[in-house]
Amino acid sequence: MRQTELLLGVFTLAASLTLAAGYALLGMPGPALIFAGIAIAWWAAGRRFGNFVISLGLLIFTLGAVVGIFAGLDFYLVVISLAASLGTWDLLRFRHRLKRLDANRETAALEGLHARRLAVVVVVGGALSFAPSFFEARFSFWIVVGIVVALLFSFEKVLRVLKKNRREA
Amino acid sequence: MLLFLSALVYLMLLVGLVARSSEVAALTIPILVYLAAGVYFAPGGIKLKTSRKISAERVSHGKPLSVELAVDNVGGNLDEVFLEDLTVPPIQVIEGHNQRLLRLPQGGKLVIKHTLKGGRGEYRFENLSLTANDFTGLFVVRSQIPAPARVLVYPEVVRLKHIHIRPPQTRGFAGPIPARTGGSGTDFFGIREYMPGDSPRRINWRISTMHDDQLFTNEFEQERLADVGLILDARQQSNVTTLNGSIFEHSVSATAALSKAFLDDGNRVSLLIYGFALTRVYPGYGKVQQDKMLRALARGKTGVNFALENMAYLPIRLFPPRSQLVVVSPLLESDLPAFIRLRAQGYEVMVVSPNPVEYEYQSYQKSQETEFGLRLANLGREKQIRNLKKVGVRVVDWKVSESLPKVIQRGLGAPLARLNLPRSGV
Repeated sequence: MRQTELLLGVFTLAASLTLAAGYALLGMPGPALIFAGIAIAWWAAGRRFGNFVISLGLLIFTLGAVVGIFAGLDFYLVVISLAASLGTWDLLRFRHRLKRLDANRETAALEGLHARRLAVVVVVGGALSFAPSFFEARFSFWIVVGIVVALLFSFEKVLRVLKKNRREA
Repeated sequence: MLLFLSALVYLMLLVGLVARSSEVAALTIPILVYLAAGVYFAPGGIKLKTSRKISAERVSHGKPLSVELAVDNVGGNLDEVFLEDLTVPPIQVIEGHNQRLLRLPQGGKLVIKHTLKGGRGEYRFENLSLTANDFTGLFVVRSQIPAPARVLVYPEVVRLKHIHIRPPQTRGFAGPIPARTGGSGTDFFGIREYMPGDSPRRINWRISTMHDDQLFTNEFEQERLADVGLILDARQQSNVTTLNGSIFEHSVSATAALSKAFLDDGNRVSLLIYGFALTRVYPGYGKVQQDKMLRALARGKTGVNFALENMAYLPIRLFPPRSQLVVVSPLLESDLPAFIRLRAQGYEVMVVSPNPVEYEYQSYQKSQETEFGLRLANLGREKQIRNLKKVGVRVVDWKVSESLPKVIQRGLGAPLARLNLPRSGV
């Protein structure tokens, strides 16, 4: 549990500090303080409450990131904040699952594996987010059409998976 | 969670498209990578082989029971799997864990060991509950792996001293029960005329000298084995359940103790559990019979059956005529006619009655009202017991806070002749 707690602290700190720093750099100390406070509340609430509260935290940070983009926040800081808040969300849920049991050698091994995979996913996801700006990609008509078709196709797939999961449950 | 993340992705993409902001659209990439990782590591087909070993299929009350459940993964990798060996309350895990959260790779083996302890009853272990998911926890597969086993926890059996009984009819074998007929024995029974073959040692010379040309022989009371029928009242109507438990558990432990005492004396003992159904253990002797009775008592449950709501419906022909019956029951007011009928049919009846009034009173907060209620209820119960004694039923009123051996010794330990009770038969 110590490993997960440590990583959770790092991710929560990264998510809040980057977003707060972004808003502070824009001369908006109010939102910066709000996000710092929300991060603490999110971390603490994750101990007591279930998935709803944990997901609410991710939703707030995602909204903060999207609004930050429109407000002119540094894109790099926003991506780091979003990736870190995704990691926080995942670790809070993982901690919730671990809470059912006492710590032992098996759970320590599981924590290690989980931490490694999550770190890879967050770093790769964050790095890939920079790719469009690196290649200076802009929305053209055909890119928009491609995204819409992909959206419709994936939406149908997601619905099918959800139906299957519900049937199995 | 999957729905939540998907909705978040769609929403951000929509906002990005509407606002023509590639940066907002790019923000979905970490979430999409996370989702893709979840899909990649999602648990596939689950194939587990299980085998369960239990230290004993039958254990005495209060003895721990060790369970060893071996799990063999013959399917694909399971990145995060939560296994729970489902136990049925009131059995409890006292050592080890019946839950495990771990990674179970292909071909991996796992042994779940734990020690259980529980009250009287029959416990069936059915399944091993399994919840497997990928590391993101988005794709969850739940399954139940069969790992059946059955355990019987016997009721507590306390040792009782010899219980004096005198049924009108005994069996043909030598035993500890006075048979009400003359013959070889230790207790003086009577005098009869001398018959050729009588031992000269048995001639009563004092009486013989009073008569001319006549000799008299002392007769002793034969001691034989008896048929004892135990009847356990398992009717829901007579049971009292409080937060501390149920009085039926005390009835069961009293029946177990009585059965042991009678069987140890060499008697032929049978059992009838009278409740939701009629559970019968046919008459028998010795340790095998004791084990059969304990098994039946371990499974005993209270229940409601309107066909058996009254003791009047007791199928008395199941017991040998004029034998000893021992009823273990908290007693209901409507039971009196049934006991009168039993006595009229020539049975020797004894009642061991766990006191339901006292038992229920223990669970209440003490106040003037409850004290008054206790007095009223005790009056009713005393009247009920007095009526039973009037018809020749030996009654032991057992306040369950007292030790059963002491109460039995006090109530039934003395020989019947000294109890000044009406005798049946003879």
